[in-house]
Amino acid sequence: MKEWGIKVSGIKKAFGQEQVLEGVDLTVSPGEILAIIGVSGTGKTTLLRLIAGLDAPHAGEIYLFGKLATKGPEILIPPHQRQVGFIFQNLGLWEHMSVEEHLRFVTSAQEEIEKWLTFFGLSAYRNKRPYHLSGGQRQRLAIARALAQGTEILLLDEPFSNLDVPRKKQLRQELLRLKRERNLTLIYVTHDNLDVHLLSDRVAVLHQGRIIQTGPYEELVKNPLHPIVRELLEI
Amino acid sequence: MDGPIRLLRPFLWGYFFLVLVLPGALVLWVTLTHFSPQVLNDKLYFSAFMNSLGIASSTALLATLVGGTCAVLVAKFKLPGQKLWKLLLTLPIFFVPYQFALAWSGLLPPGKPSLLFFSPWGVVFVLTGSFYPVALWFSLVALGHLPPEEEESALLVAPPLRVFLKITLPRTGPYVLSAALIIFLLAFSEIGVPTYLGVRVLPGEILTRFAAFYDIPGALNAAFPLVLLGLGLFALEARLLGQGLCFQQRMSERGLCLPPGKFKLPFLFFLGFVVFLFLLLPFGSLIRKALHLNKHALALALRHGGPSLLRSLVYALLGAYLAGLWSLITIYLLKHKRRPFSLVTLLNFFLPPVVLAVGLIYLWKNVSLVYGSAMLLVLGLLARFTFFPYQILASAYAYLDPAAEEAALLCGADPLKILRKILYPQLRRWFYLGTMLFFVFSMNELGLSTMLYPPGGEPLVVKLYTLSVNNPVGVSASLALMNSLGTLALATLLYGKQRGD
Repeated sequence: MKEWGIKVSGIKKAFGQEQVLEGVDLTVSPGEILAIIGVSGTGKTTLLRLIAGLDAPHAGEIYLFGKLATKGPEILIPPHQRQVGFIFQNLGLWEHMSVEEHLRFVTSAQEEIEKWLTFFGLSAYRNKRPYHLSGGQRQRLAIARALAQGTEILLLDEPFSNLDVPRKKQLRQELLRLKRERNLTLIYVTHDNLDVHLLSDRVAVLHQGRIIQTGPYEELVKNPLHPIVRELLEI
Repeated sequence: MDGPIRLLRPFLWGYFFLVLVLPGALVLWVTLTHFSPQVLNDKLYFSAFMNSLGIASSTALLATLVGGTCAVLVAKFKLPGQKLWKLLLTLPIFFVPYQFALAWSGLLPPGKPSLLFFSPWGVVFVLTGSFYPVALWFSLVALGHLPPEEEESALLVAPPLRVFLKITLPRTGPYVLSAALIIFLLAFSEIGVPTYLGVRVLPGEILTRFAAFYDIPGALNAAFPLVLLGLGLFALEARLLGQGLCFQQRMSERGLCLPPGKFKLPFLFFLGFVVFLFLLLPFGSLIRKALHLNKHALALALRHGGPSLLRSLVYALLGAYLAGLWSLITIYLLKHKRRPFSLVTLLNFFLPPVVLAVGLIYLWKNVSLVYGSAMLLVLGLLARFTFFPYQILASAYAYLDPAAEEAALLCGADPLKILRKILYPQLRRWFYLGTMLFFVFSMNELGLSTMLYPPGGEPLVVKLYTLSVNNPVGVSASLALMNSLGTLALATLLYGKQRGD
């Protein structure tokens, strides 16, 4: 079991009458970068939220580094004990806190705070509130906050959607650096094929509530098992 | 802007100057320039002022605590019957505070007046029960408006209680403070409850001086501290509103929602206790009193109550629609240059109603068409409560996508058509929410109504106040129930229209 960073097995989730996930199975190795793609409304964000423990499925199991974290509708490990970082699409920064206070909320160790402020080039902005930061700085603050807790898994919900091209490039480089230096396991949701191509080790295609194909980008492009896979990866 | 929309401009500016600017400006000018400090040497006056201050502060504190706690329990804990709790906890705002004083006095043992109840503490207790829904709703809106991601990102690193204390509470602070200020103002301006419980308060002093001597500058002179306080509160509230408080409620299923665990029963008991204490018990007391009326008293209640209720409804509804319409047009025509308008509506709301009433009388006393008719009272209600529809609509408008209007303009629609077909449908529910609040507060406004009603044209709230002095409690109880049911019925209708889309 421990060779998997994340193992998702038979996950089902419905919102009211609408069945969003219908038995998702997925495994991610430690230090792997997995891209999840799919048309809008297929449950990509829901899947990330279930892994983070922010929501519970109706059925299925989620293991994190060998530990059973969610079993059916029961959350066995609460979100704050999962060591999972989540970068929300709108970042979810705390508007009443400065950059440094964001990190202090997560860790009391000043060295850790300084390390991440330096790592993401935010030292000069430590006393600024989020609304005084640029889009890129806000994004980096969100990632710094997620990492300062000593997270081993980082989930990113469309992290590139609001960024211009240079910022996208910078974020991709930062994420690759994190993987290289910290052996982080990353799962991200995206609609951009370039991001899939340049960043991911593997791609999972979610369609109608199920994972219909997984594999490296090139393999999926060469050998799509479903028309939607070709459509999604077409440039 | 061109075409038929031009016709709306005189309405916009006429309303602005005649209804909103002139009475307030006059009050401020006379009060601030003709102040004589002698009035402060009057011991009775000073004690009334201190009473008002104490009552308003204590009420603001208690009502905010009760309302805020209820809001947290309802919105942040998975308790059964959330919608029902919200409804039951909201209901006291639909009733005149004065009728709660009546109801509670009916619950005391006969022939043995409670000294504690007929004291400033009694006033605080009654007003807390009347005004805690303000804090409840401001807190609910604040909690609903907080993006769930802010709480969720905290939940990934901290246990729920810490998230609540460090993220949820600080982010809702401005709303809660805003509610406390409004409750303070409402309690400070209250006349009916303190008068009934025999407590001297400043608005009562001003009313007495005005009614006894018809000395307008004298009354305004006595109102000086009240006006100063109103201005202070106005400045604070303007600052809070300037921070972009949003009155749209966006309740999310996500974010922090705690399982109550072993506290489920205590929490439900607390909510039930608040509903029992501030709604069921006083309301039950009124019903009991009304049911024990003899035929003669019942006829008296109906004879006085029917026409007065009708008048109340007409005044309040007319005002509500006029204010809603004006707010909508102003917001549309002025787009982002509307800050001064926002401040003027806010200032009028923060001027104590008796003071505003004196200003209106001063302004219109020589125009018999206005002074001798119900128009004066409607003008008073407009001046005081335009705040509600205006602030709510302005806040909602700020969140609309301007592209919708621009697209309609490019499709060749004229501005009036854009207002009717594009803007109004999007703002409809906020329009009705604003008019509903205007209506409810107008129905229950005693201070303005007592001073501005035309001869023979008392609204029910005034009738209730005057008849309760020399008539059996059952008559007042019947009138109070009529007022409550009338208010509730029309408010439900307006609420239905708000939910209609």
